[in-house]
Amino acid sequence: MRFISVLFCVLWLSSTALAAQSFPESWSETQIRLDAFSQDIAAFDGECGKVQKRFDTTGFLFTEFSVYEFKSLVKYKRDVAEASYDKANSSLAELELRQLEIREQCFKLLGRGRTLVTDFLLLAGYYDTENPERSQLARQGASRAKELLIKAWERLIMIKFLENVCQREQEALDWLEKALAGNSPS
Amino acid sequence: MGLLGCLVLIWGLGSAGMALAGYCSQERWDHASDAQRAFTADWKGEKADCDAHKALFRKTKFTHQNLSFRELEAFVRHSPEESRDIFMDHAFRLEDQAVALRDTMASLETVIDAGRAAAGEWYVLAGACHQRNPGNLERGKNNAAKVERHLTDAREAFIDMKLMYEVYCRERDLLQRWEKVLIELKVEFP
Repeated sequence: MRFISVLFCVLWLSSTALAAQSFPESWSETQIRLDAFSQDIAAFDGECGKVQKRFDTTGFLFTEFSVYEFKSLVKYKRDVAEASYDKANSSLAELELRQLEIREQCFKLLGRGRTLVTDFLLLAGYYDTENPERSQLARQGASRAKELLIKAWERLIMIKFLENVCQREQEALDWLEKALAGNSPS
Repeated sequence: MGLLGCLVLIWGLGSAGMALAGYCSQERWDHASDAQRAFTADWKGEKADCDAHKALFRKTKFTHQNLSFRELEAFVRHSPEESRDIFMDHAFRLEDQAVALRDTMASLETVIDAGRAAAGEWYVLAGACHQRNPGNLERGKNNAAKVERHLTDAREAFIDMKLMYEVYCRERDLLQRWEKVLIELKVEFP
């Protein structure tokens, strides 16, 4: 009889312990993480808006001139070409830096968001039978985290677009530099 | 002894019953496997389409990337008929490519949603089934990770498609300006 009671206790304790294993985050901690993630996404969104505005108000060389026009610009208005080169060079350096900053932030947020969605879904399954109400709340938490994650993905699209803009401006700068050195395409 | 034996039996039957009644059932497990398989197959099909769009995009010569509007306008005013023929051929071809790209983007979005749902199902199953067997947690998570890997590729492909579409849109803007000059010059369209 003692053996059976010990066996029962061991089985019950081990099942409880195993159930708690691999769930390092408690329910309330996951909720707190969701709130923090939501705030960080909102702040990031604001930051991205500022960077986008900075790009929108910048006059890029590649939108103004084709590579073939740099030669005549240098020939007839060398001082304008030199000033344009300096201005475009410094503004590109600043834009690239800002683009890289928001890109890094975006990847961090994507990682956090993915982990958050996963944890909420695991919790939804974990509470499925013993606390269906909480399981439902966990699913809602996962949906909310997913929505925020999609926002971060959309911002990544914008960041990649800005990256392309920087690349094209760098190419235009290279051509203008060649034209100033007298090696532009004819 | 009888009472304790009963308790063990109740515990055993209870946990098995809960597993069958709750989210962790073989049926759900099979369903998640089917969703994963369907998503993987759909993504492979979409990937082939995405690769074809990328190859076509690389071959396409975009006017706005090679000429400024100043240069284009000078050419149109110098040779209106010749520029009209180039315009028409280019505009129709580009429009077809852009529409096909848009269609692929729409179906890719559907596939991404299905992948997200398949990965989510595995995570919920992993959470629900690990009470019965901790190994299930890892199995579920591993299956979800497999889906997530394809999902990441699909999302990246979607971003590439979106960036390509932006280029088509910029070209379309230039084409509209081009058309305006042709109309201004009263060039007849066949």
